[in-house]
Amino acid sequence: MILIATDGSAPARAAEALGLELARARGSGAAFVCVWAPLRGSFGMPLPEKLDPEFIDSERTWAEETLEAASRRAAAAGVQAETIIAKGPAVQAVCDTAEQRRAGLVVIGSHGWGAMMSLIFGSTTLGVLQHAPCPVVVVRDNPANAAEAPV
Amino acid sequence: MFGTIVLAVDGSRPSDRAVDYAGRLAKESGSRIVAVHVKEVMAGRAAGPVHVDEEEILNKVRAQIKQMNDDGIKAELQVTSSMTGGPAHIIADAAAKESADVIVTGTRGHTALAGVFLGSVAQRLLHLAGCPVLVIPDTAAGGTAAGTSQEAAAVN
Repeated sequence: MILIATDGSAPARAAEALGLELARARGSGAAFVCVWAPLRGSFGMPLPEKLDPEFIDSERTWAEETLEAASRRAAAAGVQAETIIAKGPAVQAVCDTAEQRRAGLVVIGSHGWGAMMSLIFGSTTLGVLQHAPCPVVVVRDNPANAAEAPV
Repeated sequence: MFGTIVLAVDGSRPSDRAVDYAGRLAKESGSRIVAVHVKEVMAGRAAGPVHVDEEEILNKVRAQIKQMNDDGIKAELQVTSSMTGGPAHIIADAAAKESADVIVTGTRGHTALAGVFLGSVAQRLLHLAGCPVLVIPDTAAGGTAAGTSQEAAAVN
């Protein structure tokens, strides 16, 4: 099974494309994993329950929407891909999912939304490289987009 | 899928794992393998640069490529020298020149420090490569996390 980590960012989209291509070529299953973490207040304190639940749940909603979009793109590419929503921290969530699902390969973008620019490697990606139970393919954003990135 | 695979080799144990993986990948998808070996040149005291065990490493790497050819895999070896510690640049350049679809590398090679999970070459490759980089974990079980802490414990 090929596990594709996505957060909807440009490098993640490139990772999705490669992961789906690999799954199709190998005839193996594919799954997307998107990690979310609950919003936190100052100093990492949990937000008060009284806050708008829609606001508190916004990260999970975002993850669900990201997975839906990825799933649609997979279907358009002719690949049936499972979607897995996982609660952060991201590195642990991706690696635990890879282990639980016995992934043969993890495909991940070079950086996600968290990176300041495309030249900086995401800490999630480096962490996954360190802890993944299987080989990891790191995919960059396509070079045409990278050229427009701030340097 | 992967038409051309550029494979970073240096005869180390992590590199052996990358060789095995790339071989299987190539067999599966009929890829061509371009193995790139960058000779590590160490600065000698007075007698100029010295290649450490370079003959031995080169023989091993050549044998690995020959084994691939015997297995019906189209594989070739490119050997270059680096004076200034730029193996990652050379491998990334080779990948660009060969229009590689992927670079396969181990987590680290001969010269990496114990306890460092991702060697400097692999890490630089991630920055320099224009194509996807496939990193093969070091330990049989896969994840390097436990292995690294065990290694670190052994060192301490």
